[in-house]
Amino acid sequence: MSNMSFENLVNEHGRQVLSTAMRVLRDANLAHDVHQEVFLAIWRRWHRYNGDVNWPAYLYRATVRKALEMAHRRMNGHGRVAPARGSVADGPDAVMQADELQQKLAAALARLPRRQADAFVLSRLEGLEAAEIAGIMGCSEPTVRVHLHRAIVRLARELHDCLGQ
Amino acid sequence: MNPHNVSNEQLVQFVLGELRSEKACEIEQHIRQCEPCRQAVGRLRSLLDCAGRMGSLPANEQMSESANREVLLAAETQSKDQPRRGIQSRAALVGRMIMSNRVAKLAVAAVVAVAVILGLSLFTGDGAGKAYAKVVDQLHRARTLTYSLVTRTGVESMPTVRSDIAYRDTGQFRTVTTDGYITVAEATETGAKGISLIPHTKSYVVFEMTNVPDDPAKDPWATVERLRALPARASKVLGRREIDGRMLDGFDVHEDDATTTVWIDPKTGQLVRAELEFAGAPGMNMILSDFQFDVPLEDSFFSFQPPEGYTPVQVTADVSEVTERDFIEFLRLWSNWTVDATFPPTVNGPDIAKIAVQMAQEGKFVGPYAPAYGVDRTPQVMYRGMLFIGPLPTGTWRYAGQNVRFGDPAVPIFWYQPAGSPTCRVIYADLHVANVPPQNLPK
Repeated sequence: MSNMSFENLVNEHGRQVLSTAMRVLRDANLAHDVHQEVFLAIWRRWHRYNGDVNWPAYLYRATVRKALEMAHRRMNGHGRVAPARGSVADGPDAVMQADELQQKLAAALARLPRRQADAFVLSRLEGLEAAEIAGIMGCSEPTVRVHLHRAIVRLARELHDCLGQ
Repeated sequence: MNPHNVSNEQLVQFVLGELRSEKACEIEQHIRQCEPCRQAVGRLRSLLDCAGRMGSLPANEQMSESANREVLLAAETQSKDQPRRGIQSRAALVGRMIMSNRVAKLAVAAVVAVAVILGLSLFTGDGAGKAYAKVVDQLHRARTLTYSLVTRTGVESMPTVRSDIAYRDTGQFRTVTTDGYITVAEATETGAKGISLIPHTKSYVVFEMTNVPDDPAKDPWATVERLRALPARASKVLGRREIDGRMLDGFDVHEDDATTTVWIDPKTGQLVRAELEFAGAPGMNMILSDFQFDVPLEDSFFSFQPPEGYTPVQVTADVSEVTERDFIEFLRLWSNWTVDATFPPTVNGPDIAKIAVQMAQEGKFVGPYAPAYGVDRTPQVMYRGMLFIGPLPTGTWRYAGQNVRFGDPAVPIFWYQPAGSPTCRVIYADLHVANVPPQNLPK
């Protein structure tokens, strides 16, 4: 059993989980869904955890996975992942283009192999260093870079027509 | 691999700044001369810029506090349930999320209340059907009435609200949502008073509305009386259809922009279901079912006594003498409340309630209430502002405040022509007002 209470876990890491989900999904409702699903999944197995769980890493992995699953489900369902907004200083065309690109990037992320998507989200959306990501993903830093590079190449290929140039 | 002796991997490393300086210079020189590689690098940078923008969306403290409360509540619920339930449905989750926001909750309540008012007002009309007439008679004679109410709001991201309603002909109401929010209310001489219990914060709101306009369409109690006084004949007999595995006889009632369908079991003659739809609110509908007549309802069922351990929040709403100033105050409140200081997208009462809920979910408000107004004044100012719009005749006013920010004294956001006045009143984005001849109004 974990030494930390479930309530403390939620209060200590809830914002991180919600923020990560928001960054991937850009939709407060869906981010709340992810937040709830991640924590309730933990709650159902709470008695099995011992005291040495690396909760930040665990929650990052679980959140990114759940958020991408949700993005994938939304892409295949009736809904769509809501677009984020560009900077308020941008003109309407730029904002619209930014919306469209972010929406397509979210869709492409949801189609990536899981490890590549994890590496991309943790690196480029969460801004974590390779060493931190390696700790979260349970692999070496070079492996993180391989996953990240492959993710970038694949995303750039999929979004070729939307990225300009 | 691209055909220019530089691999895609190297271009990615270059863009990420992972190459040693000599190699980076080499790539830089190459892309100066190689258009395809320069374009590829541009696309990679666009991709990373896009990801960077997505990464600038942290959840604010209020959102996370709300989400944390919800999940702890859900965990507690799961602990108590036998057998243990799966993850709550999204509708239930969103419902709880909304209900955790007091103002959003009021907005949902407003939507439901408006729908009830609209819906119940439909039970007027003329037609045929003995079974229908019998049900009407039963409604008319009922001392107590209970039923389940499912309200679909027509907004994708908004929850379906499920609640159980109990009514006693002494003018008392009790509603319980599936999430356990209880409201008990009773009519008073000048309006209504009641109590709402908010279980997850263990708090309660005692409300009293005074000087409610003497307009049955705005008084939920009057509309229930109208339900109980249904005309003996419907406007159209639909015939027999299977609904939820039961063969039922349907009767339509049309009035203005709404349609009500009443379904009656031909074997028992009992009212089984009523469906309400509204042309003015596409997608919104209400389904009333599980009707029970004259079941004993104890006084304690309608008690205003909060459970032990609950703490109070007082709300008082005086809705007398609504004026233009109330509407301006409502506009000021909204611009104070929104993250980008914009005015409401619409000033139509039912629409604004739905939009308020949606905007709250999207984090477009700075908090659960407008900071300058506080938790108690926010709903009151909103309600009074909306009351100003209601009586204005169609075609005598126009709202143009959508996407307009507070502050510009040259941008008109609302204008209307008071009854008997030769000039129009124009409200500008800094909320000053001017009298303007009709011919000089914005096009």
